Amino acid sequence: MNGARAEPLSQVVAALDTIIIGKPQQVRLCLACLLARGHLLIEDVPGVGKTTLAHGLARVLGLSWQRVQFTSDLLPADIIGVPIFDRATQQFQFRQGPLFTQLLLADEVNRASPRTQSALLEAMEERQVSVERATLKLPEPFFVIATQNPHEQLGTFELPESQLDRFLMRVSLGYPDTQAERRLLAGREPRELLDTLPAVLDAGALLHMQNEVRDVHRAGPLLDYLQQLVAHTRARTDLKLGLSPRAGLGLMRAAPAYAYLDGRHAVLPEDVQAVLPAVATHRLQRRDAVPESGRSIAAELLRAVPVPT
Amino acid sequence: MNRPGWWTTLRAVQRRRAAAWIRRRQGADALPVTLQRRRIYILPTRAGLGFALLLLVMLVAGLNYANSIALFLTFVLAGLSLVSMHACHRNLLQVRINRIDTEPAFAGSQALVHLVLMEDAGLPRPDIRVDGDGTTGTVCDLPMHAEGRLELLLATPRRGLMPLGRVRITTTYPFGLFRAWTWLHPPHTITVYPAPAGARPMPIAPGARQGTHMHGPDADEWSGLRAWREGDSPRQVAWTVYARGLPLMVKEYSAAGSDDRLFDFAALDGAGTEQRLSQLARWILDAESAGARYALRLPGDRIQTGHGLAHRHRCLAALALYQPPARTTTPEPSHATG
Amino acid sequence: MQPGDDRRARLWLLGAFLGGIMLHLSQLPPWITLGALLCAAWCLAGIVGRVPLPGKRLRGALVAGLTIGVLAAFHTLNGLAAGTALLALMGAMKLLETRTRRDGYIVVAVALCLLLAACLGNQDLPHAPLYLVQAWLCVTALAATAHPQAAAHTRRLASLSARSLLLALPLAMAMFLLFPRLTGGFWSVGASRVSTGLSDSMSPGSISELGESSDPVFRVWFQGPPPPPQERYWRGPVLHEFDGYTWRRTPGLQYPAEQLDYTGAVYHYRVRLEPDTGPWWLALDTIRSTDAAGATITPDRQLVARHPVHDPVTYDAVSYTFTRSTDRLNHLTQLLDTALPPRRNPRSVRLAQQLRAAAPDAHAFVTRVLDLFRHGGFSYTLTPPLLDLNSVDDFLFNTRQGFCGHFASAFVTLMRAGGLPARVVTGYQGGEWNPLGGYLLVRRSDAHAWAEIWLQGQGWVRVDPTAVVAPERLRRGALDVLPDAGSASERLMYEITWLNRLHQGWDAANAWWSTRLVGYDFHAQSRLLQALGLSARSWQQLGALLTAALGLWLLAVTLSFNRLPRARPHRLARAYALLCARLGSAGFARRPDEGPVTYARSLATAPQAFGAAARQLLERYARLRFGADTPTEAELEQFERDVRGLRLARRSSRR
Repeated sequence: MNGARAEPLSQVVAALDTIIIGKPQQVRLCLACLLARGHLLIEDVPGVGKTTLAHGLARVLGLSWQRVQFTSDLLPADIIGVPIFDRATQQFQFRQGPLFTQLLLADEVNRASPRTQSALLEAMEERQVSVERATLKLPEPFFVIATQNPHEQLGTFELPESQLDRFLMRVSLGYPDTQAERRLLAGREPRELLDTLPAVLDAGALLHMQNEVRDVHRAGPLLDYLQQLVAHTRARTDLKLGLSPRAGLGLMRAAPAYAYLDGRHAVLPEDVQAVLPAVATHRLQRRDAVPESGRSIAAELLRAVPVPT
Repeated sequence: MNRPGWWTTLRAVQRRRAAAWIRRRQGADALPVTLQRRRIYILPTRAGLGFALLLLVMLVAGLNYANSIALFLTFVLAGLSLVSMHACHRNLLQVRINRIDTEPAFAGSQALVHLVLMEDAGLPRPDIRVDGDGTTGTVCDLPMHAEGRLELLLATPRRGLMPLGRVRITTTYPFGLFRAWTWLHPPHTITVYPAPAGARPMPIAPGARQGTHMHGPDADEWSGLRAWREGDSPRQVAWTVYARGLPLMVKEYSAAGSDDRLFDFAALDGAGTEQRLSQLARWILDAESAGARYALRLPGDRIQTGHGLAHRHRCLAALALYQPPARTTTPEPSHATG
Repeated sequence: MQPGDDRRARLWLLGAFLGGIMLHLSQLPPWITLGALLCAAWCLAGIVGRVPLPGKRLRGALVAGLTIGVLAAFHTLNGLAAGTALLALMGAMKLLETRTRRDGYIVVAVALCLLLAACLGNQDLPHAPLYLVQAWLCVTALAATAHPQAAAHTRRLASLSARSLLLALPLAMAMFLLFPRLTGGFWSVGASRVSTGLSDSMSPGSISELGESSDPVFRVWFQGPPPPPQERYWRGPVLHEFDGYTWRRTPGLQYPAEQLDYTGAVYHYRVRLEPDTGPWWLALDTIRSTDAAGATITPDRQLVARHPVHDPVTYDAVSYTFTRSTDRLNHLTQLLDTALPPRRNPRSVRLAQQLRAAAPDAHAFVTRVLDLFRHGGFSYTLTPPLLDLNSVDDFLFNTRQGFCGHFASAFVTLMRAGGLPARVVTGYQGGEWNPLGGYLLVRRSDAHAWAEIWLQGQGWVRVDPTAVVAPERLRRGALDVLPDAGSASERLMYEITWLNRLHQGWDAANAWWSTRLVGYDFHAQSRLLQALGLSARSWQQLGALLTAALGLWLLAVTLSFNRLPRARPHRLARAYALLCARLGSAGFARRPDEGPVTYARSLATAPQAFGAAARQLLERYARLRFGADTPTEAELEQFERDVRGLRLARRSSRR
């Protein structure tokens, strides 16, 4: 199963590593999320390269993309589109909003009003929008990479738990370590590098890979492991809610994608362990509501549940 | 049933002793709890005692008439009751209590306790019941490798954090001749809100937008644009949009908005602590049902304006847990818990 | 119980109650059966059609009226029959008010009591399946009453009760065998039934009445081979007195005994008498000793019960086929057994005197008389003509057709007239060998009568005049010899071999049932315990045995039914566990939350000697365990071998 990783994929990883320095794990998680057809939430303080990462992904994957800066006065119509009255035909025609793209970068998603948020999240879930009794399909593939700023509380609308659940992964970039920081400072500005990134893939190739991810083997003991992990969160009393079945399915989608990135056609417990923090933490909350507790819950979880043999 | 008083007293004392003994023996339970042999108790039911009496009659008759078939029948039924005992005990064995969730309740009503049971030993478990001291709960059948839910209503006489106490899981399966049970001592507590009461008018938060009139009937929150239709008022048309070369659009307003409120404990003068808390609870409920946003201020605590179920719970829980400051000390300023 | 929710439970209750009534259908007075069935129908209408059930007042009136009715019919409320009737009625009443769970339990109890009453009334094998079904019905009704919601799954409920009964069976067996039995009852049980066996008198035709029925009388199990057919004489009442028509045995008269030498073949056997055989117990001629507790051996070698017994009886006995006595016959016997009624059967007496005078000795006289039977134109029949008061004269000189009783009676009369002490012995002769059960079955149609004469120097000698007339009677039995013995269907059975075999099988099952199960009483229990080496019948020993049986049963039940399935570790998992254990012993323990790849990575600091090999093994494990292809047997074996063959270098600790 250690077959050669799909060649273009390693190029993608390599290209992204040049613009996001010192964060190979986060880059892999983001890629795995997209390979698993999931939407991605990047949560971090400003200036650590969230937008750069999103741009880089779109470019390298060769997808059409749109960026929307979410603000409090952004209306659902501003992202979905509006019906326009055509004087010539005396009829309304629908003008597509930025949503109709393959990769939507929703910057600072938590700044928008709940109405706009829910319009976006509904589109993410359904992969289609309803306008004036008509249903419009979104392009294939369709991803949302949303970023949000956790520490900026004023003027933000916290995403409710049910909507957080729509994101397959939540990834934090964090500050680079000293070595990476040094390289960052010494090298060229990542934003400039963005323009030099080649488009390694295109939509067709990505769809093909997504289909291959579906065929990655999940052995019985691995499913046991997943079940035990999920069951453990439900059994714990210090958590508000256990992992939902949707979260379990999310793990089951993300882990194969991670294995595929590694060039394997079978999921190992390590793959589950690698994606679990990103998949599970935004869905778990302690009863005592210590806000940053998500990450440590994932670690506790992994420590508490033995790997099946 | 009319029992003499001394009998009732004796039973109560005996029950208390048994409860204390079981508590000492088992200790507190940390969930999940898997029911093992040593914590499952079993005794015949009334029907079981009646059955034993019937067996005795059959035995005497069989022996007296030296009737082998009657004796054999008696012994088969005796064996059956032992099988029944065994099956009853086994019906609880290895059942796992995964979660216990308590729902907050108002004082003077009943709190709902949810238990989530899990069968993971590969044996269907019919007829599992839950009850507590003096209350009976629901029944459920646990299929193989599956979860089951039980519910129990507990009386909540007083405001505050009420310990869940002990909960009993019982079964009389399969023949009702024996009852097997186990006591759980979960560390859970129930938040008991003060009983909502009082009829004072709801106060309005200082600085709330009063008298500002917005377009649209009773509406103040702008919620979006829609295409212009025949009959729309020109005052509602979004002219700025039209100016950008886009077609005629109409602004829409949602009817949800209402004025913010502040519920202040200190502002309720002249009443006892409990009455004030009850009045605050009443207001919170009313505001919530009216869709208003509200803030709560208690001596030493303040909850920001908000609304929704989570906010309601936070406010009511604060009321539930409120401890009046001791008389000798002056009330702490609000930064104590802030 | 919620109404509606418990319909099925009530149907089961109805079924159990009706089952109880059915068991008593033949005993209960028709009006009671009818009443119970009406109540049941009303109940059924209430369940199915939601017909309102009677109110409290109507039920009260019904109960009072029915109790009076039972009193009027039985004149008592005590006793099995009246009790059963009352129980049936009360159960039917309860059926009409099954509202609470408690009512349901009471109906189950009534149904069980009806079953108990049926068991007390009849213990035959054919009833056993009915009892079994009724027990199952009652238990199912109990389960349905206890858990009305479980009654929705009929099949599951039915199998639950059946399985539970099956599980209870071994324990019931042990308790049945070991539970201390009583020698008598707690209180005496009055029974008034007519015995149907041999009587202590014989008149012409009385034996042939017996011969018309082929009901079993007793069964015999021999230690070793059974005696040949012509030796199978089962001795019953010995008759001494004759009034010219009827032979009798005077009740209470003490007949004197003779000293006997027992010779010939010896037989050890066990007899199982059917119930109501009467006081005359049967033994192979001539009995030497028995363990029968309720019976004694009389001086004329009969086995007689001291008290009439209505239950089936089992006893062991030892018999010899031949005896002799060199003593002189005592005077009283001489007097009794040569007496003839005066002025009766004059022609016969004259004939005997003539023959005796012509014969040189007693032997010759006996031979002459037997020759007379052999060549005198006599025939053997089950339906001989009626005889007049001088029965022997009428038989010998007119009808010449007779059954065994006629020949025995005539022979003894002739002997006594000739001066030889002689007596009539009644009993059974022959029996059907049942190869399936290994026993001899003797029926009423095997009833027989023969003669005994006293010969100086030999003692009492058995002479069977019937054997002279119809020699095959001894070898093949009455059914075979007489065309009209037994009913038509029995004859058919007898003639068709496979039907006969079937019949024998059924009889063997019946015999097993009645001896092993029904007949397992205090004595049988004693015998069993003796065989087990428990000579002293102490309650402590039984208690210990019972406890041991209970423990064993509990253990078996726990082991076989309480085993909650637990997955056996997979072969690969075992090998992996071994690998981890071995690496752990070298200082590289695996944390439980480490997967194989992480574990392999943590081996980076391991010495080159085994680190690479171990990492390679872990990778292989990951591929075998989590890969898409199911590992082949060969791969598994190779992996196991390699794990065992891994060479380790010790190191103190990993981290």
